[in-house]
Amino acid sequence: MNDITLGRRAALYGLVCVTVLYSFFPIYWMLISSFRDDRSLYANFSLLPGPFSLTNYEVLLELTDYPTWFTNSILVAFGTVCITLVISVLIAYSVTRLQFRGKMVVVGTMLYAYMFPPLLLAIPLFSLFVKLGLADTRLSLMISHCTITLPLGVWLLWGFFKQIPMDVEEAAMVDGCSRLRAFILVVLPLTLPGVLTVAIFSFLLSWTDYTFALVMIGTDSLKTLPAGLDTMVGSYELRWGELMAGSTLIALPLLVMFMFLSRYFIHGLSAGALKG
Amino acid sequence: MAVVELTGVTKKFGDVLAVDAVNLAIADGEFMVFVGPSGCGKSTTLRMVAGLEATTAGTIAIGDRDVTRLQPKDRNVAMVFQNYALYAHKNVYQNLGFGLQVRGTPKSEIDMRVRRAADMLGIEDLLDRKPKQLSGGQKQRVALGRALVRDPDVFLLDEPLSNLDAKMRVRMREEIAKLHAATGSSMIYVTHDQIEAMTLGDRIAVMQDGRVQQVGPPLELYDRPANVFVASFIGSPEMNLIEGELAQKGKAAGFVSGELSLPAPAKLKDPSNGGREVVAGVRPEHLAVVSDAHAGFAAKVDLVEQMGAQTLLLCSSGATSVRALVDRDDKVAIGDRIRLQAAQDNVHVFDLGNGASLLAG
Repeated sequence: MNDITLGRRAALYGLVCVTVLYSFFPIYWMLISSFRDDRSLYANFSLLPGPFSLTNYEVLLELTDYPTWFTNSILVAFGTVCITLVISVLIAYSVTRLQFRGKMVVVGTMLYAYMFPPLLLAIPLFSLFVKLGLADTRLSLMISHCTITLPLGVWLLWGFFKQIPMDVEEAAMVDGCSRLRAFILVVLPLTLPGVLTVAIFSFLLSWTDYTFALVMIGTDSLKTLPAGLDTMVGSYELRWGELMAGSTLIALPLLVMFMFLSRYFIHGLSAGALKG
Repeated sequence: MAVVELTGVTKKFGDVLAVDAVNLAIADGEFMVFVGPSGCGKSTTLRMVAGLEATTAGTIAIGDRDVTRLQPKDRNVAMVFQNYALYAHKNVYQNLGFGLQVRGTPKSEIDMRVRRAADMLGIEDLLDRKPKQLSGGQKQRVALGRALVRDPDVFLLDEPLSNLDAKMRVRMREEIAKLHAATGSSMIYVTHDQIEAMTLGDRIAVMQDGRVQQVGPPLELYDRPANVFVASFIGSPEMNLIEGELAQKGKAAGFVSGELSLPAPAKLKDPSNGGREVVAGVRPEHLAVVSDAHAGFAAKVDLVEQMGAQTLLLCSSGATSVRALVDRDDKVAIGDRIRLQAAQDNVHVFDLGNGASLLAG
């Protein structure tokens, strides 16, 4: 018996190690490459870091539009988060608390929309934006990102709002709150992990999106980081060092965010829709 | 302090009639209990008073205000919920003060009233705790306190004790009774437990199928149930209800069902109604074991339940089974043949068809 469990354990640990290696090696490689001297990128390289150099970062920040792209990414991501939160909170709350015709259709449609691959939506969306005069703007990119973030936001928050007992809200209403005030003072604080999860998720999605950014934005000064980095991949020249430095800087805010908010994110995912 | 008046209050959920034209007046300072089986409309009626459900028809007045169309926040009622409904993200102090805070009460007064309520309920030591750190009884005290600080026109309590264990339920029942005595506020209390209703209520409204079956002080309901439903619902153990017929038996009209016979009550509306099929009711505690071989009726003991001070006998007389609650009897055994007798005044007679009482007054 003991041998079997020991064997199983070893196999399990082995599997975990392989998974961790598989997931982390590219990140590790990105990191050490970004700090490498240009010449050692292509010849005599080893799996260990070094020789250390900041040249890639200097070139990236001084000679490319990286700072502009960074600003664009921040603006688009925050915009997406704000739109997603306001709309998904309102929709999710309405479908859990109010009685109206076809409310399950709303939820169902949301999930259906989530199943479309971004590329399928990107082209018709772009032609819509052209008609509306929104093409090639940051707003058009935010709206495009919302096509993915909104359905998941509604779906997640729906699970959360369902878990908040009706009588807590009713108690607040009897205690002297209007429905809106009861919602803001009682329901929203209780669903904070869910709201944060949706915020993190939307940020993540918008921050790392490449497909929509590529289709929606043509002007260089409006590009976000992933699409901007792409312009550095030239036909005759592949500047790996700067690319790796740029990728590292894209990952940095995510890493910081997860360090502080992963607790809520995990709680949010486990307590929300998945459990409901 | 106010009088709550319900006039023709009706609630429909789709095609389902949950509350059917309830008329009820609750006096200033009165403790009114709504009691009935689940689904009888008692909670819905309470929620309509609170404003949490809209009425389909009828009006609700608190004091001289018609509140039928008012929001819950504008009715000046306080409510205690079955699941406590505490605000999980606030501590006890904030839970108690929330109702005052949203109404813009000055901080010093909130503090004074929160501490007074906490003192009344013995929860001063818990003010810094979060709800999840409290036991069921403590949570219910906080929920009561939250209502108490508000000084509302009427307290609404929706099955506040049903989530507590039996011992705590008895203790909290006493505390609610004391609280009512101390504050003198009008209270409406919903429960499915007839013992809570009997012990707490100044008056009880027994509800079934959305209708009020009878309203009155606890002992009036016990002594003079208006129909078979009230008779069976109020009192524990449940009243024996036996189908049979009224018969002319010598001088006094009696009640006969097979071998079982009971004296007919003197207050029978129409004593000459011999042969009429009725339901007779007699409470287990009103049946006594007698030694006289000609008194009462014969019965065989099927089961003996010793309850300490009393003994509950499950007997059968022919095909009819009856229960008798007698003083402690150590000797009685299963299979014994005994005679049971009820006093004339303790027998109830109801119409077989609609279940209404056939006794006068």
